Formats: sequence, C-alpha cells, structure tokens
Amino acid sequence: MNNPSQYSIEDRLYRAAQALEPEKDFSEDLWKQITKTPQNPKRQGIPLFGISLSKPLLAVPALAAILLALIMIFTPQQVVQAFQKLIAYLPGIGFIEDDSQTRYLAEPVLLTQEGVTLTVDQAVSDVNQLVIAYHIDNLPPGNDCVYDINQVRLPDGRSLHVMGGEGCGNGTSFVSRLEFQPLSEDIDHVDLFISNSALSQNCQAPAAWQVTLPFSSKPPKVNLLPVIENRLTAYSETTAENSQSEASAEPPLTQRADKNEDSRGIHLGIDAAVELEDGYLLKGSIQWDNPEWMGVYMTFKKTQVLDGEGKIIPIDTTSMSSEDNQWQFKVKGKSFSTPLTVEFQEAQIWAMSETGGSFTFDAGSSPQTGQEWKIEKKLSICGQEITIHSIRAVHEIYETEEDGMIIGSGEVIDAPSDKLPNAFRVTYSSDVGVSGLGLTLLDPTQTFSGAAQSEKERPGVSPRSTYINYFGDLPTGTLTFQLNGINFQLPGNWQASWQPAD
Amino acid sequence: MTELICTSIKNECLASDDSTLVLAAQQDPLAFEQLYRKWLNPVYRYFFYRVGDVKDAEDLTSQVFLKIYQDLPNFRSSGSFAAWLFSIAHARAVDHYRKAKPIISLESNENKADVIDLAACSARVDDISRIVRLIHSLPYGEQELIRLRFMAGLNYREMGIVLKRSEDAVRKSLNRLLKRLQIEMEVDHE
Repeated sequence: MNNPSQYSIEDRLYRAAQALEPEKDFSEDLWKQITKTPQNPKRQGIPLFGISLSKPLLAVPALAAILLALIMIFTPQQVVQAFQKLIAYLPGIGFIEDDSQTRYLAEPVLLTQEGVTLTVDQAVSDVNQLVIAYHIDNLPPGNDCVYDINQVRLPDGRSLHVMGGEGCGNGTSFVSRLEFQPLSEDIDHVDLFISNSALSQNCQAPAAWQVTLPFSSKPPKVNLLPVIENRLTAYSETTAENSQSEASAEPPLTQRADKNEDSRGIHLGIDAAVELEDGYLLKGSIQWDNPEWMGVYMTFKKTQVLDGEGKIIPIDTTSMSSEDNQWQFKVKGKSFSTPLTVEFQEAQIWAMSETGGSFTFDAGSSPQTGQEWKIEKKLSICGQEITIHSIRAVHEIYETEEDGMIIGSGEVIDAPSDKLPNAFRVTYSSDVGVSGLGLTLLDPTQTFSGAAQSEKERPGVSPRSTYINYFGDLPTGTLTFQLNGINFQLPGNWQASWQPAD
Repeated sequence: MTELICTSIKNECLASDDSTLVLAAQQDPLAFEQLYRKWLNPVYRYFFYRVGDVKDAEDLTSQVFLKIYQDLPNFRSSGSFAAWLFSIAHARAVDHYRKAKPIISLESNENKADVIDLAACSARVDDISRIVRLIHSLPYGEQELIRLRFMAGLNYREMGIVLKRSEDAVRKSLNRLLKRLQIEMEVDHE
C-alpha cells in the first residue's frame, strides 16, 4: 500500500524548518558569551544514596545554625561548595537561589475589577528564572474562567512568554504560579498581562488584567526557609587523603545499615529538606548504575513514607521534574516518630540502549501477508534477556490499552481492510515483566515510516507480540532489526531515611 | 522522498557523533564549539516555532546553550546529548496549563499565522504559511511532536526521552498526527 501524500507532509514540514536559521550576528555573539561563562565543577562520586542522619538537623532559620549543622555532617570542602550556591525555599514560589542579584516583588499588588480581585502575592527573579504567583478571587459562582494566557512585558517593550508553571480554578477562585526567563539586573519593574482562555465558554468575570510589578532587593517580610542540601555521595572510597576527615564526620555510607539489600542498580537519594509550617518538604532524585540505560524514565507503583515505628505518614505528591528523575513530597504534619523512611516499590522502567542485541532475516524481494520467518534467537538489552521467536508479515488490526482499535485519523474499524498498515509482527518472550520493546531497522536506506508497539497482554504474559507498522510497502531484502528500547517492571523496594530536627 | 531519507540519515549520524564531541568538549571547553555549531539551528528553530518571535527565540536559545555549557562537566557522555539538550529546551518552553493552546499576543486579535514573521523566509512562502497555520491549529502536545521531530530533528528515541514517553507511544502518536495532517492539507488544497 503506497501513499505518496504521506511522505509529502513530512517533506513539507522539513522544508519549512530548514528555511529558518538564526542571524549570523546572534550566533557569533552567543558563542562569545558562552566562552566567557564559567562551568559548574564536576561532581565527585556517583549517585546520591539514602542516608540515615543520626544527628538532628538544625532547622532554625539562622545562617549560623545552618552552618553548624552542615559542618557536623559534611566535609569542609563540601561545606564551601554548598555555600557557593545559597538555595532557599519560598512557599508559593519554590526553590530559589538567594544571592545579591536575586530580586523580589517589593510588595503584593492588588487590582479589583467588577468585584473580582487579582492579588499578585509574590514574584522572585533569580539567576535561573522569574516566578510569579497570583490568585484571582470572588469569581462569580458557576463560571469556568481559566486565566491561562499570561505574558510579562519588559520596560523596553519585549515580552516574556510563560516557560512553565501551573494554574487551576475551583469555580470561585483561580490560583497560578508562572515561570519565565530571568530578569536582567537593570530591570526594576515589569507589566503582567493576564487573560481568560478563549476556550472558556462560561466565564462571566473580567477577561483581561494588567498590573505593574515593582522589583527590589529582598524585603524584610519575605519568609525564606532554609534548605538543607545533602551533598554526600554514595560510594565514597576511604583513601589516605580523606580518611581523616571522614573519621570525624558521619560514618561512611557503606558502613551504615543499608536497607536496600539488593538495590538492583537503582538508588534513591534525598537531596534536600525544608521545614514548613505544617510539615516537611522532601526533595530527591533517582539514579541508576547500568551505563547501558539511556533516556531512562522511571515510575513506581507505590510510594509511601513511614515513621520511626513503621506507621504510614500522609504525604502530598507534588510534582516530578521534567528534566530529571526527580521527586518531591510534602510530608503532612510534624507529629511522628523519627526517622522518616521514604519507600518506593515496584519500578516501571523505560530505557533506551545503543547496544541492544539484533537479529537478521531475509524478507525476500516481496514479503507477503502471512509469510513468517523463524528467528529463535536470545538477545539482551539493558540487562534483560529477550528471546525473539519469529517475525510475520501481517495486515491486521493492532490494539493497545491506550487506544483500542485505531487506524490513521482515529476511525475505528471492526475488520481488516485496505486502510490497514502493513506490519511485521515480532513474537518474543522474556523472564521479566516486559510490556514493550523498541526495534529499529539498521538499514536507513529502506523507505519506510515505522512504528512499534505492544499488544494488550499484561506484563509477564509470554509470549508477546510487538508490531512494526509501515505506511507504505514492507521493507525488502536482508533486514537487521536491533533492540533499542525496553519497557519493563522491576520488583523491589527502595528506601531512604531522613531525620528531621528536634 | 530522497530529501526525506537524507534528513533521516543525517539525524542518525548527528546523534552517533555526539558522544565523541561531548568527550572532547569535557576535556577542552573550547571544543564545545563543535556541539554548539551543530545544534544551534535545531534549537533556534524549535524555539522560533514555539514562541513565534525572533527575539524571544534568541533569548531562549541563549539560555539553553549557556546552561548546557555550564553543566557539561557533569553530563554522562554515555547518555544522549540531543535528548538532554532538548529536555532542557522543552522545559524552558513547556506550558503546564490544563488546556494547552498556542500563545496569543495580547496586543491585538491578530491571526495566528501572522505571529510568525515570515519575511525572512523567502522560499515557498505560501506553503510555509500554510504549514505554520496548520501547526498552530493543533493542541500543544501535537505541536510539540512536530517541533521536536521536524524543527529540532530528533529521532523517536530522543523524542521519547524529552517527552517522558516510550518510543512506541511517540511513533504511534506522530504517525497518526501526520496522517491526519496529510488529509487536512489535501482538503485545504481543494
């Protein structure tokens, strides 16, 4: 089944992209700026690991107290590194770098229109970003106002567009936290424009808002909370050089009671903690040992926090960072026995690989629907063993949990037809809970636009099939497919402990 | 068709060269220029088709490369540089609102296609205008698929990393989208 028009839309998109290039002056100026920029130092050691702090953290928001706590736990060199970047936490804004260049909204800004009130509570611009937090109250009941068009206008007329953040409404109020590019040092005010979404069909409140936000150095009433960062590494080796400093600090991690008897190459770390008014914010990251794993995305079936007596403590799961495998929780309340243990169970892992196993077969000059090739080859990818049983040319419906039966533009069909794509169905089995395989054809000269997906079986059911679909004819001749990704479950229980201050 | 194949091969070659360039740049910061020259256009194009303004695209491009350069000593060279680069770019541009929609200037009710300044694009202006209008009529998630694939030049694996989705899901979503766009383009021609 050939569809030349399928290629032309892609071709036209590529041409539209290629027609655009940055100005040469911009390119050269940016390179000069880059060469003058200092690089961050290379971190020592490997992944962060869960630690159990036997000495209490001093969460008093005084710099001297924080310094004392850090000296008790970290080596002198690590203390110096920690204070080169003063991270703090501002409720409503998030983590910020609090240095001399950081600017704050001088005072809250209010505007009332038709009985509805906009309050810009806080705004902070540090070296990384500008964050603005506002809420709109007294919205008429029953409305569906969504103020998701936001823009910052600089004094020179340029506009900053939203780079991230969130906004949500509950019918009578709308709360928003917005992220923009950071402000340059010479900017002391900006204009904030807020507008109602055109998709809101029933918003009876004022649709557009404009306020001026003045910025200054840190006002006296700003409630910055200290962040206790953990910069200890997991597998620091005891050498003649650092053994003396380690003797006076906490015992090396490898000597502590490690709750993760078999980490299976995955490590959970608590990076920072913040004492809030009504609980604690814990922030951490997930690391892995296997160098073959690339582009890893990891989730867990169950996440919980236990107190010192093994009782489950309620948490708010806030967000996963979009850049790394990060996590953060708010632990609700402070009335619990310590230490707290963060526990992740049953990992679901998506990982790519450039060194997955491959198999080859001769599809001939004209592979026909129903034609099958026996492979029976064991391959490995990302540490998992897969047996490829066979590959078959098919012309049939494929089905997934996400989409049901779908073809092309979303039309649902009940029986095979000439609209169905040609596909290779690869049948395989494995000992682990695999729910998907990625396959790539190693010969890029074949004219194809392929897709691969798995059937609806639950992980662990074997054998399974994955389809490689083509919108044109099937590729021909000697074909070599390589495993380049895998989606699998990894049973396990990963833990990290943290001791809050008394 | 030939041009399309060449682009696909070029993307694969771009990715496979990166590990060598990254190692060189980690040993000699000035060697970062090779990575910079290679990825400047894709990053700029990605942002331009996101924000529709030259200055904003330049600002965002600058931010990304400065951050990449600063953090390069801590990048694991076994990872995908392109995926890392566009994960950061994506994070800079992402809109986390519930109803994703194109960014509209507050200055006037101008047509969405006019947000993109096409004065600099002399070749096939009519066709490019049509493409731009088509892209900006899409929901944000589908726009991002187009931008990462065609403007950034990422392969499906790298797109999966950036979007935190499996390569399978990315391929499937994009292929469905392209089929739908093809039909819409044909209707538009009629």
